[in-house]
Amino acid sequence: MKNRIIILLSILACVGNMQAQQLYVKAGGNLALGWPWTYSSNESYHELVMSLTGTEVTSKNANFGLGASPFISAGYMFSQNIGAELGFGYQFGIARTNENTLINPLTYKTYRADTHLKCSWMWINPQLVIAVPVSDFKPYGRVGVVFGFSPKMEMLTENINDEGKKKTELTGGMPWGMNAALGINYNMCKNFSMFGELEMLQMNYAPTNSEVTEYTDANGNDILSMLSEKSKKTEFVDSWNSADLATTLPNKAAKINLPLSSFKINLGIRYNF
Amino acid sequence: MKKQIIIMLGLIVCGYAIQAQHLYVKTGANYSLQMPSASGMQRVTEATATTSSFESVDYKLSNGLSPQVTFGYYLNKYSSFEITTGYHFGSKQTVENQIFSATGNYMQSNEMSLNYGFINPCFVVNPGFAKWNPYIGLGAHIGFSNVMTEEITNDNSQYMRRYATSGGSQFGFFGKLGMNYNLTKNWALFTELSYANASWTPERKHLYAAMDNNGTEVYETIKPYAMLTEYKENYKHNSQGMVDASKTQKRLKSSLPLDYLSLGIGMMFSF
Repeated sequence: MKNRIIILLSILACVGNMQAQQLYVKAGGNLALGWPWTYSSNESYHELVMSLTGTEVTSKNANFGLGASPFISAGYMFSQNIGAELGFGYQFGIARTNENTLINPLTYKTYRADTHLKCSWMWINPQLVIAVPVSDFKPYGRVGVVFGFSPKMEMLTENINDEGKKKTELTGGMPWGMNAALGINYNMCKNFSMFGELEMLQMNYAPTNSEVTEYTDANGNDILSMLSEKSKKTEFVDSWNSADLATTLPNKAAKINLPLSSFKINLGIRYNF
Repeated sequence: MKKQIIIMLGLIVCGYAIQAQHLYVKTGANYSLQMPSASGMQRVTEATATTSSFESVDYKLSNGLSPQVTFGYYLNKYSSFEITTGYHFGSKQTVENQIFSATGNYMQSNEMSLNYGFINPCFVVNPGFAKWNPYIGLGAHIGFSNVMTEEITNDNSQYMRRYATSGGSQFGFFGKLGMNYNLTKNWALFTELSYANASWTPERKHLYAAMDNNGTEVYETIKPYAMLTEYKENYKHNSQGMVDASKTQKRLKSSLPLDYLSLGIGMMFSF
């Protein structure tokens, strides 16, 4: 009898997984590095140098995933190895600058007019977690779907027409994609641990609207009302007719794609209940 | 007492990572679907003398079948490093435009497909289960020898133009979620869901076949401007808007979104 009990206990110990279900919360931040080598034929994303003989265009990266996000997550480990996690966060876009040289159509004088572009959005991220509980550094992987909310792409051109300012915002729609991450959890004390992760996010954004929200002249006067509705607003639609394109109505155009994919470095603290 | 200790130790050893480092090979095939991404492309669905109706078109160039082989190495029971290589046979995507003509409207079709080779190095973690063993992988996706073919034809004549777009690089991230089912000590079945955020920036598009409305070969008569388009990171267009037909066309580089989600199955052999 004693032999059988010892054998049984050994089997239980070998199979492991005595620490089963566990609820936890995580808080942290990440730096999203965007993704290089993405180009667009849309000249407004690029650097322009105008002269009397023509316009020189230099391609710039058309990925807008560069930014930083604070986030919180709640997770539940069904066993020592398998769990689920739900993350929330807000990506603050980091602006990148195109140094343009434009030409005044009246004086033919060239002037510097930089354009700053950035994209920000809120996100929710349900994920599956696979953990490997070996050693003090516990590696894990997670994979899931990311849904974006309240996205906004801003394009601000300063010194437009030699000292004015023009701001265009692209909004509407819902960016979404998939993510995968590999991370390490390190136990600091009984309930607290630190984590570090490398994450890849695949995400695209198709806005539904583009609108000029700010337009001032060289004296700082608001001249936004001087723009026609067609010049001020564009709707990105699935289908439209050329008869819809009156100056008193918003312009219509084919849907465009803004790549928001990114490589991220995540750091934070985890509390295990 | 000595017998009991020996039994305990024997069971502990059996339960833990006896299989440490070893090689494995996987073969299988994936079917990919393009992740939805608007392209800025449009097609004319209806054309009259005074108006036209338009429709947005999404790219579907990532749709297709990819046979592949994977070479992997288990670093320990829970993690491995693997390299997958294969070839993507793209499905055809057809975009049709209605063209207005005084003699009668006609449909112009543009049939496109993309083929390329790929290499996906990847780091994989798994919980080390005996029978059903799930895993997550994260790595890179590298495409090479990309060629996109396009054939443009009209339904009211034998007009035809055939183009090949090539050159440039395809690079992105790669992630996957899979499950191994261990049949025997060495053999296993696997199924996996993988995705990548790839994009491809071609360098050139050249015409390689042309026929007129009567079906006569006219390739030799085509001017350089219509024969070859080069995609540049930096170029200049003049203010007069005049075109020199004796020179090849230059345009700004543009990336084609090739983000995909794919489902794969296959067999695995562990050495």
